[in-house]
Amino acid sequence: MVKIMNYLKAAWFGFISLPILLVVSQFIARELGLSEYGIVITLYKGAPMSINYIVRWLLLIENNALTGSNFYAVLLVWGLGWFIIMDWVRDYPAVVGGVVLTYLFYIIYLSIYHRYPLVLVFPVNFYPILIGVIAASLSFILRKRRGTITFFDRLSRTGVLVPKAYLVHVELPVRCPRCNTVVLSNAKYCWKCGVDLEKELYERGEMK
Amino acid sequence: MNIQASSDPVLKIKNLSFKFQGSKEYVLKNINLVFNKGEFVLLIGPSGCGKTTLINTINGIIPHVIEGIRKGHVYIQGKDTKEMKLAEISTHVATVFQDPETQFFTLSVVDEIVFGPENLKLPADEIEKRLEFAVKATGVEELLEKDVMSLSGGQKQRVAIASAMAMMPDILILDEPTTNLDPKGAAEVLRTIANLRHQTNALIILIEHRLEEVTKYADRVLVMNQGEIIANGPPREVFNNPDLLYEIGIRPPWAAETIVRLKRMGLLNADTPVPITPDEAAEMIAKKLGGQKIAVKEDSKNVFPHEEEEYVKAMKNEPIIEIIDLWHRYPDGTIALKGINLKIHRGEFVGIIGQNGAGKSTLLLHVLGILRPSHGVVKVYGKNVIAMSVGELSQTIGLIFQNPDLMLFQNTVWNEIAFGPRNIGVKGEELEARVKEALEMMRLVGFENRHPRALSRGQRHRVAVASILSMRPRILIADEPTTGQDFGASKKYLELLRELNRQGTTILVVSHDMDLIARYAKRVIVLKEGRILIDGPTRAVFSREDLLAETDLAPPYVTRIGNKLRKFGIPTVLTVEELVYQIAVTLKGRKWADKIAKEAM
Repeated sequence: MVKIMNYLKAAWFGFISLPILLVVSQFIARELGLSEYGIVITLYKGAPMSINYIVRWLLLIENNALTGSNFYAVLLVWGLGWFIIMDWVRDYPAVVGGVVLTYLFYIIYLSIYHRYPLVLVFPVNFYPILIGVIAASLSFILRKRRGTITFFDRLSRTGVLVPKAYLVHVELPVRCPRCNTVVLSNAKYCWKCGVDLEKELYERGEMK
Repeated sequence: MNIQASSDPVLKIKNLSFKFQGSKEYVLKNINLVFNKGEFVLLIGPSGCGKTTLINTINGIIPHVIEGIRKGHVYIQGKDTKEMKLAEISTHVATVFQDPETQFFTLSVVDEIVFGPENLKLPADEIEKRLEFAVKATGVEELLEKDVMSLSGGQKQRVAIASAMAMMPDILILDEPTTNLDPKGAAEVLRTIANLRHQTNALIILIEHRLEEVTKYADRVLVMNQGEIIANGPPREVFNNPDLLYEIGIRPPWAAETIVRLKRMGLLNADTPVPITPDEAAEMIAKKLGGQKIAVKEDSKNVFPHEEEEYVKAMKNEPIIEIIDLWHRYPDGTIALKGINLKIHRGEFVGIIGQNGAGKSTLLLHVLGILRPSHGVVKVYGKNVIAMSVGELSQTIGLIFQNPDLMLFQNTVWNEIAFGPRNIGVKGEELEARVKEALEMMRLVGFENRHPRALSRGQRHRVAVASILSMRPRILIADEPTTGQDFGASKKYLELLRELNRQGTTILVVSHDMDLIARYAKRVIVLKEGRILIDGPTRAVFSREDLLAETDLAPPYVTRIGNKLRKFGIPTVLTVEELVYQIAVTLKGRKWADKIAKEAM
């Protein structure tokens, strides 16, 4: 069930975030005057655009999409988008599946909602899928190499020292080592004999 | 300074009656009082008896700000307040309210203390003198350079008292200054008040519910009920009649009540004086126990074994709240919870205690699914709360706010109770049945068409609980349910929770009121700086004064009296009834004590 949810999550993030990323990146590039470097494509004219139009760009089926900097600008969005989504979802097969699902969602959207003939929209090329898979793989490899950062890693980075007794996982109920009394939590003291359970049990790690 | 009372009254109230505009009933009824300089007067009474109205007639808010019909006179230094301007009254009377933040005007502590004198256009050297006096009287030297908003509750209240003292008033009124504070903050403020007793010659009028802590400072106690003064005299005289206080919903100091009960049972001589402090009471009882042949010597560990068994048995019930390695770090870096592991089982009545900042509220917010754990899991009925929807959670857990008025917003009691179930799609007969059931449980039948706000506070509390019960939650959480209420109202409310617990609802109560936790909770969890300090049956936890002291908490006074008598075989007690019974058992034997207890019932 969790696996299926991860596939849907990845596909949904892709479906929503890629158009946003395309528009935002184009807007920023245009505002920064980067057209001379070939980053601003002919897509953004400074006026509101229809979703239909944006999706056609994302699928590289718009006029001139495969020419010059337009092509690279769209691939950049696919690459960056899936790189970030991999970081969110953290499930490699689900994200790769999400790339394909997103591609298919767009095609379904255009063919059903805007009645585009399938012959037009499917599949002109697989560059977006290829770039998406490469970006997700790259993100996955980098994450693997970096390792998982836990809450405690973040704490130690801020210089907070956590006593060992606080880190021991405690299977409840606990039994006092001195009087064998049941305690329903990892309390510091035994309620019956007052023994310091943190020192007697958790610091030694006997509860692991 | 000299604290001798002078013969000239600093404050005289003559035939004073008052009613608010548009109201039919008089809130104050023919009050006659005389106060001398240097006196320390304790004013007590149930909520709504007119205490605050009385002090407002002294500090001039009535009639200068709040209008109404006032009969009679209030004389300050022989001058009627009606003829004085509010500014003039303020040079004689200073008031400190429950919430210090409502009276802060500036950002720094020094500015706050000198704000009053500056407004009187006093010369700079006089302001400095007053600052020095106020700081000495209240001991706030270490706070002078601080920002007002960075202070703890107790520190804020001490600064508010210092600001009042800087006015060098003839009359200082303290209106429940510890109500909103945790035990540590309250102790801090009470120490300041004790210090004031020796530092000023002003008349001090204190309204306070923590009688154990303040009675020892009082020269006189005034008891108010329904706008009238029903008792006026030295503490030993007034507290010699605890029944009168119980009748009006005030809990007398445990020390006084214990001794009066023992006198009535014939276990102490009728001329035994009424004690003011728990130590005094413990000494009196110890003297008696030491001087008489002890009939039964009980082993304190075996007197209440069923309670310990109940705690251990609880784990056999289904765990309904399961907290595993829970850590919470707020964005500002504060680590509020540090690896909490805890199980709460079906049918438990759990009291959660601790100082402010111990993590009580953070823990509750996690159980309610409002906060996301930094690390760890919180499960309710085996399900991660983060994955539960709001609707699902609201049908499982009900939260009762401190102030019931925050929960009431419909125009009739019926609509109020039906609001929750309607929101989760309950309709028709099912809705009717749920509302009817909640009305019956909370004894609100007949109130269906009344406006919730038009009810008394106790009834409003019942409506608030009914509106939660109609959701049929299996867990009820009450956060500080007794703040700002007198003992009678608090007791009724906790009795209600106990009844629900008997019917199968699991109850979690967070409170600073040790008396009520001791009386009603079966299990107590003590939190300290994000960790659980002790978790066990209520009696066992309160018997460990040494461990509780680690977090500046103390068991109820009656328990402390009992704990002092351990060498005579008195076990840990939680109520005054238990203490008196155990003393009777020790002196006369269980048979005699049972007979007397039966007769008393």
